Amino acid sequence: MGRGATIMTRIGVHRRPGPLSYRYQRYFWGYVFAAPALLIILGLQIYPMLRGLQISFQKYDVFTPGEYVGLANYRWALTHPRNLNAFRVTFQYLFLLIIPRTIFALGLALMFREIVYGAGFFELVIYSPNVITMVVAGLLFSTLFQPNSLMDAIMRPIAPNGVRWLTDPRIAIPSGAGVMVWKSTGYYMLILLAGVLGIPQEYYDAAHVDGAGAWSRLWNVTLPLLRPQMAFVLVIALINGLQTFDLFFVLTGGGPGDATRVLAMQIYRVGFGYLEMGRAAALSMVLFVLLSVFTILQLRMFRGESY
Amino acid sequence: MRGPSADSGGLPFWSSTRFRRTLLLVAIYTIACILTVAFVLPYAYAVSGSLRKEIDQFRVPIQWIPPEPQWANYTKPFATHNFARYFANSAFIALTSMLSNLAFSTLAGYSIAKLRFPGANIVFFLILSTMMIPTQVTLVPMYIIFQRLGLVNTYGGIILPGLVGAFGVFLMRQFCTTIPEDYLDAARIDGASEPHIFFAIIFPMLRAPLSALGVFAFTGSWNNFLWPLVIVNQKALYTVPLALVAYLDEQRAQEHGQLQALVVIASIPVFVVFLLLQKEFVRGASISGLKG
Repeated sequence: MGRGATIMTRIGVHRRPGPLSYRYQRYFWGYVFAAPALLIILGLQIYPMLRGLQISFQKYDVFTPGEYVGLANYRWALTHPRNLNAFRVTFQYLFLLIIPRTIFALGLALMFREIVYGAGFFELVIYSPNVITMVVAGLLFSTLFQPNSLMDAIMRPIAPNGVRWLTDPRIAIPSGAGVMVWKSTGYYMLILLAGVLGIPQEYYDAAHVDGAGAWSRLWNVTLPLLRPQMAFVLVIALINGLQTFDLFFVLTGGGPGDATRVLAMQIYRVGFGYLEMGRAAALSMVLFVLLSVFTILQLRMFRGESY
Repeated sequence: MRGPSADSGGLPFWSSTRFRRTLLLVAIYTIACILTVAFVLPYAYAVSGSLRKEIDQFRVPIQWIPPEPQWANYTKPFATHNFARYFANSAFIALTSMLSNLAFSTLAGYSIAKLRFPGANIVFFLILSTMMIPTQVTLVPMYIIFQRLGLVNTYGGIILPGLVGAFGVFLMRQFCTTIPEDYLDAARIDGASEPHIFFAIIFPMLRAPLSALGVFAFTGSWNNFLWPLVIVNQKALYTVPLALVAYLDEQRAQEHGQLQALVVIASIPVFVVFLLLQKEFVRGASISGLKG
């Protein structure tokens, strides 16, 4: 190896050495190596996606062959009250989850930036809920939200008669968002912390010399330099939040009424409860478009000089 | 860099900067301790609840230390339900998924980054474009396709969609581009074949991203719920999340002791693995974070 490297360097060739046969051998093995992943992704991602697009224009109930119905499924997806409810509930959930969690995670990252001793321990504890299975976390909180259980005990000074965490339609969504804050803040904290720790100390020193206070340093140094991480965090949060299913499936099953029937659950119920595969496919295409639009918007918004 | 921001220079120790810094640290440690307790409280409640008698379950005030620990709560679910089988199912599926992800992602990532065959960029773009497709979107067509192929209620049906993912290929490709070309050129001059170069030279260099991807793929499969829920309805094929939800449905609001015991049992292996492989977990998180 060492000998080869010396010769290569001496004759000034760094890439693509040798006669054609080398190159063709390289190409051949390149195709062989890439083939399994490419075929799997073509067959199990891209083909189903296209098939889904086709089904979304059909009336399809699994048992009889599909029958084209034009845009009827999309009209249904965008007008049926239950779907509109699903959109509303999903956005309410996203709003209640993402804003508080991002602020919380940012606060933690800024806090843990300041300390050396014990930071690893605190980060470990706060990150730990992130590793347990969503279904298990849901199961855990289905007990914690029982009357007189832990959550009631914590809230007793404010609400002595208990809170109907999962049975009050106005509170069920915030309850779910709360579970998610507990479970996933640690992940977002780690990403933001990596960003915060990557900001050179000189910037803060310079700001300090210029007489900038803590608040001004946060707004004028930290946040602008955290843009890439913030963009990533928000995109991931939206992508994950829009897909929420396990949490409410375990906690509420979509209830009370339809109060927590989020978009993913509506797709599942329409497709596999009522066997309206065409409608479910149309609804999932709407979900896909939403995801794409939000991602592009967010990446645009956060593309700054530092990006 | 962690630690104090601005230095107080040559000022005496009672200077206001120093004093404010101490105050700040006291505040941070106080908040951190409170948060630690708050984050651990749900676990603590589950552990104590798993040992509580059913009638003491929701007593006021909370009975944190049950006077007569009900260890039977831990054995009863196993006597009536085949949880050993469900754990074995989950382990088998997650292991298979992990190994195939490692193998296929590495091969493809390396090939795209280093073998640069004609069309490599198109292949990479195709694979990357699927990163945005969530399970919910392909759920219905995948079920229809799998039903045609007779894969409903089979291990193959559960495993196939998770064999390889865009993220893994992306990760390995990014890592492989950092390997100096000289290694490959030198080995080629020495007459090594491409597969030999890959397995003998490249593979051993990829330990860090492989372990991060391994943890990522294993946990992803272990936690998966929606796809198994759709493709499986035979108890013999249940994974742990499916079995837990089925159990919850049977027991709803009856046996909270046993339910919490199951929560504890299902969490312990994950925490043990997490503590052992902390670095990989965190690296996986931060790698994905770097690539905004």
